[in-house]
Amino acid sequence: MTDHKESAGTRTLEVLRKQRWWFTRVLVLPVHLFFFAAAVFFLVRMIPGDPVEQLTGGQNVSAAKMEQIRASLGLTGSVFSQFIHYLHNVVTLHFGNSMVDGLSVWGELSQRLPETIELTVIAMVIATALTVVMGLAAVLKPRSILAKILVPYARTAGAIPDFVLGVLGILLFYSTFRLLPAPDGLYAPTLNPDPTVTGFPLLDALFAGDTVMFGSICAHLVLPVAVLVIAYTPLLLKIFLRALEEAVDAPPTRFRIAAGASRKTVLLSVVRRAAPSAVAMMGTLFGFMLGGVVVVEQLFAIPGMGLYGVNAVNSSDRTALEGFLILVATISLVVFLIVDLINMMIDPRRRPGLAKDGAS
Amino acid sequence: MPNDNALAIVEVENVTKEFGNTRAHRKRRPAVDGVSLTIDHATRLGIVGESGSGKSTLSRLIVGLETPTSGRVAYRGLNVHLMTPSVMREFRKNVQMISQDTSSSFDPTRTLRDSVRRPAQELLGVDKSTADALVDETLAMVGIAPWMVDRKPGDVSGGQRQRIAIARSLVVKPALILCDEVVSALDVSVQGTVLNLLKTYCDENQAGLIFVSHGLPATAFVSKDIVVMRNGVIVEQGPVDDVIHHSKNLYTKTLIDAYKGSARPLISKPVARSPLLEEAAR
Amino acid sequence: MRTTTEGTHRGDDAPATSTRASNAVLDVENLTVRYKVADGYFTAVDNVSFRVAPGEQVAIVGESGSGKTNTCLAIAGVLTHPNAVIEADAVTFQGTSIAQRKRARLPHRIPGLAMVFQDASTSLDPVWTVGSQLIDILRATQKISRKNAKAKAAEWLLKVGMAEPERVMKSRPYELSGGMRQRVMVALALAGNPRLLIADEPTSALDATLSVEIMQLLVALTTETGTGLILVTHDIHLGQAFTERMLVMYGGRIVEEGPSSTLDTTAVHPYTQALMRSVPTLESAGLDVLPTIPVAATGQHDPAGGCSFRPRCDQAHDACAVPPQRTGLADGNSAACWLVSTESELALTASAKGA
Repeated sequence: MTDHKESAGTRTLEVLRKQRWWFTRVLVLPVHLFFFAAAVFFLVRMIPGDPVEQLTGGQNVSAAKMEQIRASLGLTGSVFSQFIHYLHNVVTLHFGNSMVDGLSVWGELSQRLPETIELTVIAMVIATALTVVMGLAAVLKPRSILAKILVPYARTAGAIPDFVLGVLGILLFYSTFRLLPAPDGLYAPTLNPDPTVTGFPLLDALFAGDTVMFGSICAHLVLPVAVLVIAYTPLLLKIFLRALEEAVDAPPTRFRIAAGASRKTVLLSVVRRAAPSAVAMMGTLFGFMLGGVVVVEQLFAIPGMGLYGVNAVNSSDRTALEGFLILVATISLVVFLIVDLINMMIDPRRRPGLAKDGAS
Repeated sequence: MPNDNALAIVEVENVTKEFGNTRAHRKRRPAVDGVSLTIDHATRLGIVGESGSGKSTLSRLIVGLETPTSGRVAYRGLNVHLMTPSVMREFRKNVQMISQDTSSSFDPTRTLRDSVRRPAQELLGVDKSTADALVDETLAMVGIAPWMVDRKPGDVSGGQRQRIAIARSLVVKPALILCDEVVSALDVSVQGTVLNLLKTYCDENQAGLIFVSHGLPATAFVSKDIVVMRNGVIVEQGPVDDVIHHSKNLYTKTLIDAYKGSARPLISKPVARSPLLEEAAR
Repeated sequence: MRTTTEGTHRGDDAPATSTRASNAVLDVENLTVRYKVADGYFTAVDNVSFRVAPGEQVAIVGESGSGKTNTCLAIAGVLTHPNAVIEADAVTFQGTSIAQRKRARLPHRIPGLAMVFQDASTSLDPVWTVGSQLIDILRATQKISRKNAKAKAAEWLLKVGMAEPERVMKSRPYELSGGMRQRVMVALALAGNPRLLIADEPTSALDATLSVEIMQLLVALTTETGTGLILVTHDIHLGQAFTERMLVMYGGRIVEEGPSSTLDTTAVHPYTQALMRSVPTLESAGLDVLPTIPVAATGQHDPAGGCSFRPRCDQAHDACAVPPQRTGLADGNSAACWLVSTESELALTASAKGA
């Protein structure tokens, strides 16, 4: 009886130890978030100028009122108590109100986030698919015309600015050929938004069966997505291509072929060994797109995260800035976590703590 | 083994080295377990063992790159790990180690001449031009032309690099030279040159030699006495002739057999004349 | 003495028909591998020709720079260096030409030809388990169900001397010791039942006792299945112990060929003789000075374009300014050296001088 219990206990421990690689990585996430939140707290407080002065903007306000405002901004008490208070707010998603227009920070962000995510996710999916196909084509048939175009294109890696492509696109496809709708937002301004189910306009339209709206969103997304894809795919492609080249010439490939493995297996082996660096770049790219594609958002009048962040910085809107930074950081860290887990799955050597050698 | 009258340069006194102290590693045996050796000017000692025998760890212990878990390594009676800086400098000058991996033991951004001259300047306390003269002298001994060391490490062959590494150690005129797998990566036709050089130098300059290798023939050539290591322990030691030709130890005998060429395939094929050979003869 | 083959086609995918020993499992004619360098070409393999009979065990012996590895990589079709130029009059494997295949960026396998490499730690695919790699090869080369493949894989691991096949099947290469990895490599190469196995320095990274074990294993298994073996090594004594015939390479050329067991006494080429003499052995341990081959600053090539060994040869003379052809000798040897002529007396005198 004792034996049985013991073996069950040791078995659980054994399983836990083997799975240690992923859940230790997951546990690290809240730690990262904590440090980032702390950094945001201190950095934002270093912005010069008195926030209360800024809020009251030169109006004649009594000292008592100033104290009230200060308290509402969470700026009273010791730094330590402020920090605790701040952390509490972050965790409960009480980001306060914007110092510029008084609107709820979280309210604004939660509206803009889905739109940015729709844009970036669609762009990333297409960029990834293109990278895989183009990468394989360029490596397997290096003398084909396709390869001869793709390799120099990959070298441009980010040299073509997205806003240049955006302007060109609007000029060509809207102004000249009238093929695509005007850059007036996510959908035609005359349409009414569908009831919120997921918060993502595209999906909401799908759920509501609103084909007109769905079509309008798709049409409006074509250009911005195309711009992002064309501008940023070379970055992924360049990394993937180099990794593929290295993997093809690596000894394991040679041996797989020389030992008689099937062609499919050899290809899969090459891709699997080449994938991690591209996957890591995907994570970085996605994180960047969340807050960085401001110009594209501006150009196409899409109310996204990027614009919100830029405005917050320009107007020293501390509360909005805090909220923006924390939200973007959280999403980025989650994406990096997923990227790490994927890479650890693809390449087991990246898992921490596993034995490297059976004997010395 | 060594001449009792000679003053020992290095004494290894019952040295044990264990790596790691976590629960998982407790089951591991020590890398070196209770080894004692006496080395003086007349020593030419070969340390032979397979991978995992502890011979490399032992070499690092002898030159002070590792600290023993128990026991001590003494240089002229002083514990190597308790030396004052000035004694340490003397130790470093007199006990030189040459290792196998020449590609990483030279700074790739500096010329070889730089890498050879600096230890001379520092350890001998001489100026640049004196050091340069010494370098040229030593290079002649190892058969490397002076212009060759004006290159970077990557521009010379492996065999040349190894000889330059040897020169680097010889330039300070050490009392003891420790070679760790210095010929294993060299082409067979070049190994002899290095081995001859080591043997001759140590004989002519009264320098002690410790030659650590997994290759028995090369070690046997260059040594007067041999120590066979296995699993951190010395399993046999004695004069080369005794160990090679009259060994009583089973493990040593298996090692020797591997080099005898008597290791025939398990299934013997009838030695048929290949038809292609006959054709080739036509 | 070298005959030209009749009826060799140079067209793509056309089988080469050879009037010479058509029962050879591998027939290499004038294989040349050059690398494009800054100011021209570097010749790594220079008109190498040889044949391997079915089930024969041949050694190619040479030091670094001799071209032995490039020769094998080129034959196996896995030399993918972008600057490499591979040319041959013909390379025929099991009667089919493999030289004329289009050189794809990702090479295709040659059914029936397998190769193992020196460093199992870098050559084994790190992300797959040993079991899945074995099963994949078994299923790629034979019609066999997954279940049977799994059993056969375990069988192979037992054959190469693994005590716990089940555990090894579930492990990845980096979790195994050096010796185990080399055994896994042998198992993977032989699982596909090749007709010829090329082993490029299979035991150079291992200790002597392990090296002997693995070599015995390799020879036993290939003998059992009738698979030919080309053992590429720098260790001439290893070659002698485990093969029937030996080819000595130097500077990209084959300089001598002969039966392995007697080559130490019958060697005619100055390089072979010097090599035999200068390898440290247990016998030479008693000498005061080891015989050596003088070192050449230019590596294994004669910049003047003559015999590749000339800069280091103590018997060189004026005729050596022209690279010698391979000449057949008595007893089934052949050598590429001007000291040797078709007259047997001169050949015998030359070997006496050099011995």
